[in-house]
Amino acid sequence: MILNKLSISYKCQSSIGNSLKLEEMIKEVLVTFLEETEAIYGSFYLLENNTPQFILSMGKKIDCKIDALLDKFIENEINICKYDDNLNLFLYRLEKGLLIFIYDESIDLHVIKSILESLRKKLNISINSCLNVKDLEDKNLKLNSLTINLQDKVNEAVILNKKKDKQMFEQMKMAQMGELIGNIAHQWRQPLSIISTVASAMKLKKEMDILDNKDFFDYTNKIVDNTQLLSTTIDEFSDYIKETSNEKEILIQERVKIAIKIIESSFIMKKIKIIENYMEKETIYFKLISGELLQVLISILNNSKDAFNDKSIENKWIKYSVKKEEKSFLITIEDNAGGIPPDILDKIFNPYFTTKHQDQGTGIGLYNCYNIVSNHLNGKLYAVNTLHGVKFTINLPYQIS
Amino acid sequence: MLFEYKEKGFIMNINFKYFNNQESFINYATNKEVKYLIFVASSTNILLENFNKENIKIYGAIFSHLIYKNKLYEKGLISIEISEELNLSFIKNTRDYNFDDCKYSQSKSIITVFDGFSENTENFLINLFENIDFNTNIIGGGAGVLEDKTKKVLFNNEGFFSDSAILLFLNKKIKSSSKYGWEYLSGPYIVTSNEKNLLKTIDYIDALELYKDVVKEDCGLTLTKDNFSDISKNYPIGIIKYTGDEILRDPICFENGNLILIAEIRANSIVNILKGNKNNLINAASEGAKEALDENSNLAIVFNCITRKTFLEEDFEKELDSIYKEIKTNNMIGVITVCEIANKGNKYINLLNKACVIGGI
Repeated sequence: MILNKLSISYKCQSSIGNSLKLEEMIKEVLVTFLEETEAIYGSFYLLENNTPQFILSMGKKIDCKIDALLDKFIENEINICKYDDNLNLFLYRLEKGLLIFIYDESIDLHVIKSILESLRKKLNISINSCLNVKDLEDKNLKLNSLTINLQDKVNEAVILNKKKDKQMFEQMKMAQMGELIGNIAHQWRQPLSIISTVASAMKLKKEMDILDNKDFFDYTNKIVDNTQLLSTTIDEFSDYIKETSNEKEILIQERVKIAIKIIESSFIMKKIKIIENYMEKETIYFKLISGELLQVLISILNNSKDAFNDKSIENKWIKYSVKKEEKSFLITIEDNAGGIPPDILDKIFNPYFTTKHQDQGTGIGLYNCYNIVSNHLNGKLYAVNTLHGVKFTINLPYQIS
Repeated sequence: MLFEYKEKGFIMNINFKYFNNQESFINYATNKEVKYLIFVASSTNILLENFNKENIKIYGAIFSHLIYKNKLYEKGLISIEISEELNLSFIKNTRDYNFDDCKYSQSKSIITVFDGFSENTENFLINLFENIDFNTNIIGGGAGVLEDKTKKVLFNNEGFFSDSAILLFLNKKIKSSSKYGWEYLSGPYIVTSNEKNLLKTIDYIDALELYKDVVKEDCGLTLTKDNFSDISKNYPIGIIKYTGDEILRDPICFENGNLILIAEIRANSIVNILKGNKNNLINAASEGAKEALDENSNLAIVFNCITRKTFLEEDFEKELDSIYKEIKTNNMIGVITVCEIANKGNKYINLLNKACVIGGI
């Protein structure tokens, strides 16, 4: 019955190419061919590089001597030969594979042969597609493994860089501290001198027996006030240098003034005038890890101070301001040191970028400032050239207390 | 009943007997060294503790009816002694069975009874086919009763089991046949939409509507939920195979316009709607008996589908007579099954339905 043969042909055709995994695809083909054509055995060998590779078999368990069979068939033809007295062997060579079926001798193989012959092109395309997908999967796997290796190396490099950053930052901080100690020494000179003078005066008056109660309290009050001043300087300095991860609430205006106080003596020595351009009257509180904002302010101030090096500028100044806006507040530091060349302005916050001599600059200072402002304080740090020099702006959001 | 079969010096003793109840079997089974395969009619009361109390080793299966000689029994049991020449495997769960462990795959024949309503039946039979020798014959049938499809129908001394099977290995070739006798009514049609055992459309027409029309034209009756199984048993669906043979599938009910068959059907299959004719069925069984039994046959073993019995009604024993007259020794046993199997090893295995399978030993 022709309709039946057509139906079998259609069922066999429909079973091809339903998966892009070779084993799955061939399994469906073999199951259908076996059930529909009454074969008792079916198997598939992949023939790549002339080496037969067994993929799978269905039906009776038969050990096909594949190497011996390969000599038996003519390429690209369906070959039918005797398996034993009662069984016929059906060899179907494809571009990259060999399908083997075994039938009882009572089964007419002519129609099966023509059905399978009509499926050759589709089988070849489907097998090739599966092999291509497998090839792609293998390549992807290799690529993934390379990517993982690369990722590992990048991670290692990042860790190494962070370590290096930390080392450089420590070095930078130590250098800054040397400079700050000079500042402290300068700041301490005046109160120490007052304490020394007052103490000497007290001693002299006592020796002359003219130290009355009023003098005594005046002198001791002056000593207490000045020792308090010394103590405050130490607190401020220690706030800057101590490593801590505890957050505390600070008053922004006060913190800016502390930063100015810490660096002001070195500015005075370089004849750089420090001008308070605007100071917000309304208090601004901000919660941060103690010392972080000071680090940023001192780094920017020092950067401005260094910008005056080797430049013959009269009336050197830096101006600072603290100003509230609707959703954030701004701390600005502007100098009149001539500005930053436009071609490098967008690079100044990059790590290891410096225009200073290698003995003086590490390229880590402004990078660290940027990191603190954007990542720790959730704000923005940017620099723009002005008429006279450069203006750094720290834009910090209000915090909901 | 004891007979001895001799072939090229090989002797096989198969001792079988019918009992009308468990008690009479227990009284008979006095030799405690012997193991028994027993086929039990579903209305027979069986208590495992009674076997265990008497230390009788049994492996059994429950069927709706038994065949002993040319008679149909709805009560009783048939025992087969497992002599040294026979080997038996009781598979508690066919899903877990590893055929690599099977010691008897080289046997010449296998008689199997299995849970006829297990979803794993087809997989199990394919595995069996694939793992046994080239020329090993398989005959057998599905145990169970239509009234309770979830009933555990296989048992041994440990208890009752579902999804299970019994394999009886013989070192003697069984001649076998499987016949239907259902005649062409309408077709051929192409299965255009299906899902496992759900037949949705035939020739792009709603399968249930087409089936109903064909049946109504033949017998004048309209199929409804209530009369469906009574009428559809006379109108099976035949799937035409490459060799021209037909595999039959019973429509057992319908749902949402789809016909539900007793086993799976493949998309794009060519099918005919068949109809029953009592004489044809009986003649087919007779033909099958002639094919499977010859002058050397000492025992006929029959696995006959329950739908043939319900279709033939009182004429069913005529079918049994037609088989019985072909066995010269008058030794005939059998069971009424829910599905059947007959494979000579020369074609891919197919689960049968509505067939009369006869084995001649």
